[in-house]
Amino acid sequence: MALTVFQMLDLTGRALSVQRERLGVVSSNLANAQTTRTAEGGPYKRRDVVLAEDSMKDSFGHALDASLAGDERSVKVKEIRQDTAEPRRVYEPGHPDADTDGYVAYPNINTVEEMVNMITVMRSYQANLTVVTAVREMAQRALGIGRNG
Amino acid sequence: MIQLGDKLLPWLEKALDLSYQRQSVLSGNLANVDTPGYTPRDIEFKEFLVSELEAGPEAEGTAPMATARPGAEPGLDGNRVDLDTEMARMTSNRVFYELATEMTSRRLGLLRYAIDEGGR
Repeated sequence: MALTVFQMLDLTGRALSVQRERLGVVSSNLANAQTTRTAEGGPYKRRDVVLAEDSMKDSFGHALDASLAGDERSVKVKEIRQDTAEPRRVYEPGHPDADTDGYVAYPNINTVEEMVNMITVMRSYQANLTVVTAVREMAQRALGIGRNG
Repeated sequence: MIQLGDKLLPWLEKALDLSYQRQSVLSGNLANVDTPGYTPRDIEFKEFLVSELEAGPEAEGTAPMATARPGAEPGLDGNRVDLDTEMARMTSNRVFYELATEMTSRRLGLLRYAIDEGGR
């Protein structure tokens, strides 16, 4: 048994939202790669998005739907985790945020790694967009059966 | 489906159902392309349809369920979905669905022709 067309679109919609949220976090990391001072004090802490499967059960308005549907899962953001790694200490005695030993604490962000993450997120987003097209196309084809017979 | 005495239409109905279900499963796989620990699923689609076709119109095999596909090597987070494999499968499924709907339309058209024109 399978999800209805609308449920499939809902499933994919959630996945697209999740990828978008990931992109937001990657952008934030990249933008703050050099931020030594935050409102909470200390350098910016890198953030990471943890994903988990998301049951589609809440999209079924009726118990009958749930029993007919397949086991398909969507995805959700489980948490946005702050990296607990130590900040990167650079010797810069003249810097306004330097400590008493002359070291400045920089966020432990590897821009190359973040760029790779960004590309991965974009690919996943793109793939889920194709799913939307595929599902819509299938529905349209089904509606067209016998139309020109 | 109404029994029209046609041998192909019941098989096409099963083929369309299964292809649709498969899209549902593949959508789930792609939604979880980055989810830690997720294993992609699939339906043993081709084997079932071939056996149903060979068995003839009275065949009443049980449609296969979605099962976990061994798939790629797990990544560091345990995810086993390979984006390119899933995309390829989804594309082939789309083509199959298009083929099956087209065949159904034409078959129905043929029957309609036989009904309308055959009487003359």
